[in-house]
Amino acid sequence: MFEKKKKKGVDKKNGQKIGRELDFASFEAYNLLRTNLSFSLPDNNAGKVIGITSPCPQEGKSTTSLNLSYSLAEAGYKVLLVDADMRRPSISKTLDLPRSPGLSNMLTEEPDGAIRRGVLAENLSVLLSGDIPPNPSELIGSKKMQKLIEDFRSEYNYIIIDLPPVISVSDPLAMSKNIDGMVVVVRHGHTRRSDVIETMRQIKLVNVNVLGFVYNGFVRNKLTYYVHP
Amino acid sequence: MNENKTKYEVDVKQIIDMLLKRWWIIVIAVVLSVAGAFAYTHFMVTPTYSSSATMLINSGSNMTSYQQILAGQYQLEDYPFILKSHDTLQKAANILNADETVNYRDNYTASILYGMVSCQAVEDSRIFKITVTCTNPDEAQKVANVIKDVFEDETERIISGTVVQSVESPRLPATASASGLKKNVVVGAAVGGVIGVVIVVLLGLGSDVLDSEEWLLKNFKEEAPLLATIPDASYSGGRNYYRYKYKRYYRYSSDTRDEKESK
Repeated sequence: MFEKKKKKGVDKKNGQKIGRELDFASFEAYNLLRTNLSFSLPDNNAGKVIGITSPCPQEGKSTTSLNLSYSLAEAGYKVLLVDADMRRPSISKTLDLPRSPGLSNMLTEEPDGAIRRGVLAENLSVLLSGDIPPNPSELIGSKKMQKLIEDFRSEYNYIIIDLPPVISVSDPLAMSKNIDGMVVVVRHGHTRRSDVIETMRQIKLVNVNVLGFVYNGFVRNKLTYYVHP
Repeated sequence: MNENKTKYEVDVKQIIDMLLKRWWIIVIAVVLSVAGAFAYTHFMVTPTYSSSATMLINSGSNMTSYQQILAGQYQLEDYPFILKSHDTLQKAANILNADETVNYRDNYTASILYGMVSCQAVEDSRIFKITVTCTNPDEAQKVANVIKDVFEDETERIISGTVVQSVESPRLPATASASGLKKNVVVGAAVGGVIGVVIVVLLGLGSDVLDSEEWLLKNFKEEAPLLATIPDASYSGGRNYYRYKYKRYYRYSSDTRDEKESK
């Protein structure tokens, strides 16, 4: 009766807001990310697959994935957000949606309603992680995953894949053959430089197209905010 | 040349950022140093007492000409040497040792008295001040009296025609003279501040954690551009106006638009 209702659109885990709850500066930053990504990828008719990863956990991958997807959807693109972090899924918690059925279920069977349409924005669909499988790396690297992504390409303009951290697990590297480019999220005052170097080394080894970095959680002095290049 | 200048500016900015980020370390270092200086001064430093005698010294009997007055003022520079000479102090020590009422220490010597006595000639006057400082107020007064008497005799003997008149006799000091508390606290604060700054800079330089996008731009410029910098949502410094504006804009552009379209 007195249970506190969770406010949708606020990722309480890392204090980031999503979708309509975004403040002006963050909203503009995600719009800039969207614009920069659109110039980074080849302009063809097929849907573009973008992987979002980071060196370590808690650096803002899921928040960035959600807000980038939202920004793209608001710009009129058909977007599918895939939570491919099957070990520690977080998008379902942020959106306050049940985790299953989701990606893991789609890779093992053909469940109905795995893709939720019209989440946060009309053009935004979400495929959550599903039940936690015993072998996420094998599932992500499977041919079925490859086929699933190819099917998504024909239906959506952008497929944003929220991946686990590179240093912790091999899932992002296993997914590399299915994606057009990788975005590496780092967090101000949290990510270690040595971890960034190691992440870039591992990504280079599997020959992934690195689209660039997202520098997350930056606190800027208000006096210097407007003079930043 | 310009490159060097730019690099220097960036380094200074980085150091300022480091200091602002860990300002609390500097505050803690200053507070601890001030507390340490206060405790040291209060508990470790023995309080001292000072007793002073003031004298007017006439170098001649009549003082008729300007040259004579000037000569008298020049002689003020001679009196400290007379006061702190071994003979003067040894005579005072002998008197103190012979006095049975003086039993503050076993034996007085010229060198002991040298460490206790100081003097000051007041500028543009014939006033001369002798101060004796020690840990016992009675002893300070007694020693000042003896040294004053000996100094008067010695000065009149050495510089013929000089007359030394007492202006103010040594008094029993009621309170301890300044123990250097203020000075020690200020020095402690300065030392603490420097230590704090050094700690913060060393921590900043040795830290492996990302503290600016510039490191990414510098090290991965060719292979991975910086796509966006997302501000910390929990930090609201100076952006409330834009948040308000955005919410108004958004409500119109999304909700209102949907309503219009549905009509």
